[in-house]
Amino acid sequence: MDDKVDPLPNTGVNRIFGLLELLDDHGGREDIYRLADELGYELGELLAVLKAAEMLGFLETPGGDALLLPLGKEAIEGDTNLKKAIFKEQLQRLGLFRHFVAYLKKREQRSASREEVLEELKRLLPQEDPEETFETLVGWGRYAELFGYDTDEDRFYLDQVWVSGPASPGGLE
Amino acid sequence: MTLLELERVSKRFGALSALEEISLVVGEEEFIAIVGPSGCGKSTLLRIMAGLIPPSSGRVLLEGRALDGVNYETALVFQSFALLPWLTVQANVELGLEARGVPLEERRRKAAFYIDKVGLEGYEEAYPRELSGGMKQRVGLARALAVEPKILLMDEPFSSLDALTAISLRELVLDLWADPQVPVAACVMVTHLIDEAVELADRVIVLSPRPGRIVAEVRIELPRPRDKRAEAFNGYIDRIFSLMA
Ligand SMILES: Nc1ncnc2c1ncn2[C@@H]1O[C@H](COP(=O)(O)OP(=O)(O)OP(=O)(O)O)[C@@H](O)[C@H]1O
Ligand SMILES: [Mg+2]
Repeated sequence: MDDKVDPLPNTGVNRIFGLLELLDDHGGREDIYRLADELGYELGELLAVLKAAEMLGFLETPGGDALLLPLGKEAIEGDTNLKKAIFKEQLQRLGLFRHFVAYLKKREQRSASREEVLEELKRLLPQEDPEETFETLVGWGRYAELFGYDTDEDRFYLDQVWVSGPASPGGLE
Repeated sequence: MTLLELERVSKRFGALSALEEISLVVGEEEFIAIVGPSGCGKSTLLRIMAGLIPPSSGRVLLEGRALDGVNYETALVFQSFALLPWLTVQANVELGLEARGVPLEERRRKAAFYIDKVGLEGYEEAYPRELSGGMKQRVGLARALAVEPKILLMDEPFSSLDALTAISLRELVLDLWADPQVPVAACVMVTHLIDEAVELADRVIVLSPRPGRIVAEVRIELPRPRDKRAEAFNGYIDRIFSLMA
């Protein structure tokens, strides 16, 4: 696994889609400061959501603006299942998610405990708060139905059987 | 067709008069928003519609018949989500069905269907504490929808969510409202945000300060999806704002 692993902004799925909707209401492009102002968000808060949406390929941020991309537009116009499918496909392009898919596949029952995942996160992203990253990993992973986490059993697991390889980013057995 | 009708409904709590002479018709395919200042009786009005409390005077008619006790054709969504922390998402959604005596198999099936509808497939085994506010309110929506109410009652459903999450959840409610597989015939939503009312509702009921009386009913004649930057949209906001001032 030599994928580059970028840290994840600690933000949730609802905010990401909310931002895409807002941007769409603004005609698909708006100044980032104006968005923060309209939302009553701290700039840092908004930047985390923008970063997340950008990593997922839903928008770009040229010259202090946020610009909705066609994929972002497609996602907000689609129904719940299409939103999830697009989200999942995009997650599978991110190094951290690819890493944990591979990591879980190598393990018995394709699962790991929370503690084991935190250890792996400390190794991969020593600068980041592993608990926060775990929260985001589970939050996005659950929405995409890529990962699950069972608190009672303390089991972080692959939600579905996965076919790896860059040729089939959306491939499922 | 008229689903629910309130005829000169008043509500007093001891010496305090909360609502006065509210007459209101909820028809099929209608999305109604109720706006009014804090403490004017909005939540009380929803609870009367749900049959959780009786009016002090006046009548509530459900499809033409006097309502006596709980209104099983309604389900409530709360600002505070009202989830049971020791139950999983799946179990929270099944709760309302269980209370209505729905057999286990059917409970599982309906809960799964509405969990899917609100985008929570993959979260079934999660506990509320693991979820963000937005995801909790999705559970609240699934739980209310699972009992297949004719009238969905929502009491400031987005008020405790941050601005972006609220945008997302409003879209979800509109999608569910438009979904032919979701058999809700009418929505009644309480809000203190005028723009939220204009975005979602076909009709906005404006209440006076306590005791709440109906000041005006404003029909929102804007095509959906609504353009929030349109002049007409802002025209409605200004009009309702001046009615409340
Ligand atoms: N069970 C009760 N016993 C006594 N007073 C009550 C009861 N329920 C509500 N009230 C009072 O009735 C009035 C209307 O309350 P209600 O909660 O319906 O208002 P609201 O419009 O929903 O307010 P808010 O905007 O704060 O949500 C308030 O003065 C409240 O204190
Ligand atoms: Mg209230």
